[in-house]
Amino acid sequence: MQHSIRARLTLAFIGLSIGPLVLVGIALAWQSFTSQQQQALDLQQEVARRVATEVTAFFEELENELRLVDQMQGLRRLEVDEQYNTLAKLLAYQDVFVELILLDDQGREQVHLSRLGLSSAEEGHHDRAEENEFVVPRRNGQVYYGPVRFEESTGEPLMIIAMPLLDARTGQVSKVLVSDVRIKKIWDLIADIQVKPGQRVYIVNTDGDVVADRNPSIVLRGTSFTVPEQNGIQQGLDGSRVVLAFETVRLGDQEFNIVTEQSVAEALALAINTVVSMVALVVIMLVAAGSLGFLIVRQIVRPVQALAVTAQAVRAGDLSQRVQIASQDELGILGEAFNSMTARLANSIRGLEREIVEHQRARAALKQSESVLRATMESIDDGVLVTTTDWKVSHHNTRFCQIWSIPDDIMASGSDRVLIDYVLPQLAEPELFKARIGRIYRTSTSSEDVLHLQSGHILERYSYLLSLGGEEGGRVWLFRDITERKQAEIALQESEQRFRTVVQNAQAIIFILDSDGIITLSEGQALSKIGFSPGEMVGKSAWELYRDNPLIGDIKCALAGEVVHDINVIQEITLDTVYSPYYNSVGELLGVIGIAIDITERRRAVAALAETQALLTSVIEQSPVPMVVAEPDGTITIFNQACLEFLGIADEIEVQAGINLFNMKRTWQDLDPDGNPVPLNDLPLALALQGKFTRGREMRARRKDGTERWEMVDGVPIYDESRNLIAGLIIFPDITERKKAEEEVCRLNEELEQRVIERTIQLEAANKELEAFAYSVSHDLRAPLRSIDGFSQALLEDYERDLDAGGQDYLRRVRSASQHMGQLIDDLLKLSRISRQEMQYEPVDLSVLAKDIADELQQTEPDRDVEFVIAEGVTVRGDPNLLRIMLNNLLKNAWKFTAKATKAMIQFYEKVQDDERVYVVKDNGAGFDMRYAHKLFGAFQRLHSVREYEGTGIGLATVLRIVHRHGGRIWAEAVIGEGATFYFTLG
Amino acid sequence: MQNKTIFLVEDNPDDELLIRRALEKHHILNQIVVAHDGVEALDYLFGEGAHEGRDVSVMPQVILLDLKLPRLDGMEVLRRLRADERTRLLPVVILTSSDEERDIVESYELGANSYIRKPVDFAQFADAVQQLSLYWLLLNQLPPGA
Repeated sequence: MQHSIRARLTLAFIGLSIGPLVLVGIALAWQSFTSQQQQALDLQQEVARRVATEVTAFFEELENELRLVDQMQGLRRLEVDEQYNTLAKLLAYQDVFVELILLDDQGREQVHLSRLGLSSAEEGHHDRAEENEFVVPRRNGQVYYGPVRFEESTGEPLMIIAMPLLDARTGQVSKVLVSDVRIKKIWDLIADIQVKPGQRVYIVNTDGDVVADRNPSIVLRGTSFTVPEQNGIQQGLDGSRVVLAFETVRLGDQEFNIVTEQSVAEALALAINTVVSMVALVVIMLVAAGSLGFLIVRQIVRPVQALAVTAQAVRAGDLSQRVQIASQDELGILGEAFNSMTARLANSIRGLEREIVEHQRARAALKQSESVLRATMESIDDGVLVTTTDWKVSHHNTRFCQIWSIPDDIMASGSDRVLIDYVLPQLAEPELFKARIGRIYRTSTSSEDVLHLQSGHILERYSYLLSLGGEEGGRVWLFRDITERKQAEIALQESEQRFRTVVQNAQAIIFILDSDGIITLSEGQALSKIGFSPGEMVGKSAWELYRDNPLIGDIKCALAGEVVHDINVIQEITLDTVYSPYYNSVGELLGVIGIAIDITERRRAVAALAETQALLTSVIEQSPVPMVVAEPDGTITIFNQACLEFLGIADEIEVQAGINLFNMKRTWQDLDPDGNPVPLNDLPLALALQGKFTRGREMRARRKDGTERWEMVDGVPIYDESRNLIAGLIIFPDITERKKAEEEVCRLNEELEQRVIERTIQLEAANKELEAFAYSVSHDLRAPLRSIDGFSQALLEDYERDLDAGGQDYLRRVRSASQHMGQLIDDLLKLSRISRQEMQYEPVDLSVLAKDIADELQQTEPDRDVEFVIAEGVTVRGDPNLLRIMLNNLLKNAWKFTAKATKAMIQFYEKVQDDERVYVVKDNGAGFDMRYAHKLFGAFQRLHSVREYEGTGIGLATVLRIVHRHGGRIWAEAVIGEGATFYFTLG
Repeated sequence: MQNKTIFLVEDNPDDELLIRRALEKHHILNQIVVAHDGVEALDYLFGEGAHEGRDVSVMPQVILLDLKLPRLDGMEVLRRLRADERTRLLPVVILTSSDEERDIVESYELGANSYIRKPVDFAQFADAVQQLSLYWLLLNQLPPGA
């Protein structure tokens, strides 16, 4: 509508009338407001000025008072007493003075009067030469005004006014009269001023402190205010917007700003009223002009609008619309023409509509009947196909396509021949059907058969001829999928078979009674145990068969709708039976099904188990070994007699009753081997209950009579098949006797050890003694021999001529004997050294040793031809030095005794004899008489004369010692003239 | 050669006589000074006791030291000689009846220069003494200042 003619005309009208009006209104309001503001400001200024005048007057009066005291009474020329009196009078009648002080020309106090306390002329000699109240007046001869102070206790403003007293003759300042003035008086000046609503007057001093206000609390609070630089609309004392004016009063260096302010709302009330009135007037004018414009425009525009509306309605199809003709002008003629055009159009349209309605009705009826047909066909579960007599498909339903899985393109061919070709391969016997289909088409009767498909589906086919008004109208084919029905039949048969097999083969008795108690089924392998064959009981009444058996009661309960579980005995067979009522699908009781299991054997087994357990318990009870069995919670189930006796509690009856390990009364103490008490949780039984094993732990029990017994405890946790802890067992044989025996053994061992130590010490001492002896022998025994030999030699050399052959021979014999004795001593020492020497065990290759020795022997007598046969790699563990000495002796022996043999041969080898390694040194020399073999290894024992074979007879004794030190044995075999064999072992 | 003394420490007078004889027989005519026990030997060498005032700057060329000695045995004498700066480098030949291994080992550990066992067969002994004496008297130069 914004662009409608009416809107545009209306807006133009309003614009023309309202614009000037608003401009004039704004101009008027502005002018009025500005003048009002100026007026308010002038008013404030006026008040401020008045107050300023009064304040000035107040201070002038004070000044005059002070000046007059001097001028009228000549204060500066009076005596001090007089001065005092004069000032006291002033103080008395002018209550604004708090203190009056007269200073001399040096600034010293001459007189000091105070309203606040007593003071005298004499006391007041304070020096004020440096204070402003003296310095300022003295310097320029003018009145000094001090800064405003606030008395601490009352908060009232005080001010010092100092008046210079001039010497009339010299014009010099001769004294200064200082007064402390309470200027609270100016509060009253302000209070007396008539104020308008929203107006306030206050005085601000040089420091910005408010020193006077109509409301004294503002002064007493110590309020500050910064006086703005110029008058106008400013921020007031309480922070709001005010019209503010001020007037400054100067007193010496001090300034008082008399400030008047009035809230903007109050001060400009008149101006605001004027503006509001102007706005109201403009609004009223606006409404009036708008209304007038609207009415005029409507008058012009309405007929045009009506014509436009009607034309639009006709265009939308409403041909009944007519234009209202209100005037006879051009618009009226236009309207009439429009109306007659519309009327003609309406007539022709009505005729057309009637025809269309008829046509639609006929089509709807046809459509409906077809839908009914289609819906009917689709709603049945059979596949439907209707064909014409010339093999064309006229109708079919979706189910038909589903059953035969016919795709849309095949269906679209519309030919039954195509369809038959398509479905034939799906059939189990396609040729049969192909032959039959021709016949069906030819006969006029209805026909039906069952078709098996390759997919396993089974179809029922039915077809009949369609007659339309006595004429043959085609053929209807119906196909029904009966696969599920067939399958259900088979499943039912199988289920029944299964049930029967289960029932017949069950290791139980299964029977069914009808509601009258007549047995309708009795099966199960266990049936023979109660003397029946399967099916034999069928038809008989349970009431009669088991008249006196309690199972009759169970069956009655089951017939009343209860599931009964009971154990019955029939002919000594124990049966665990469940009787369940069974119902048909609508909940009517049909009878009772009973299933009975033979538990005779199980019962027997349970009884046997109980017997075994009793036996076991009895065995434990009677066992001479103490045992305790406890359940996981600590409850002791077995506490055998041996245990009671061991703990010395056989006489305590309460021990027998279901006691608990953890809280039982203990009259004995469990101790560890050191005699410390064992904590409850560390006892083997407690550990077993925690699943821990104890093996052979030795403990002690201190019985209540104080005797102690030793025990060796085994603790075992006992688990069931599923690894749940079911018990803990401890077995603790009494080992007190064994313990005593052990202690005895220990004691004996210690004794023995002590004895060994003592013996060892004795032995060591003996050994030392022997060593000392041997040492002494080697030195001392040989020294005389040396002298004998030496001097015999000297005799032979120096006195040869004095001795005849016999003497010389004697001396040689002396030498020979002493040298032999020296040899004997040396050998003896060697033998003793072998026994004393410490053994060093390491691997020794005897073959290498033997070869070395053989080489050495060969070198001593290079002329001899002796064959050495030494086996390779004969190694032993022993002391290499001793073994060398041993082997040296044996081989040297062999070497010596083969001196006279023709083909001398010496052998060294090892052999195993009786699981023992035996080392052999064999020669083919002189041999010896076996009768003296026992003397062979004794010291200084010789089996041959020195003349035949030289030697001391100590060599084999040395060998024997060395073999013995290695823990071995030595023996010899010999035949005189054929040789000797020495065998030795080395431990 | 004559001014090189042999210092014999031997308590057995028979042995002393036999050693002298053996040396003479082999034409070793050096002066032989004899001490009869360990204390006397040390007194002589250090110019103390009975030998106080002896010029200790004159030291024997070789010392023949028996092990088994009265008062202070040969081992101890040897130990003191080796501990003293003046005699630390003097050649010392041990003479002893013993052939105990520990004696031999200990002698060498204490700083003996040679070791001779006194055999019962005097001829052997004489040979050994002669050889050793010759070696130490002729061939071996004493260290400077000894």
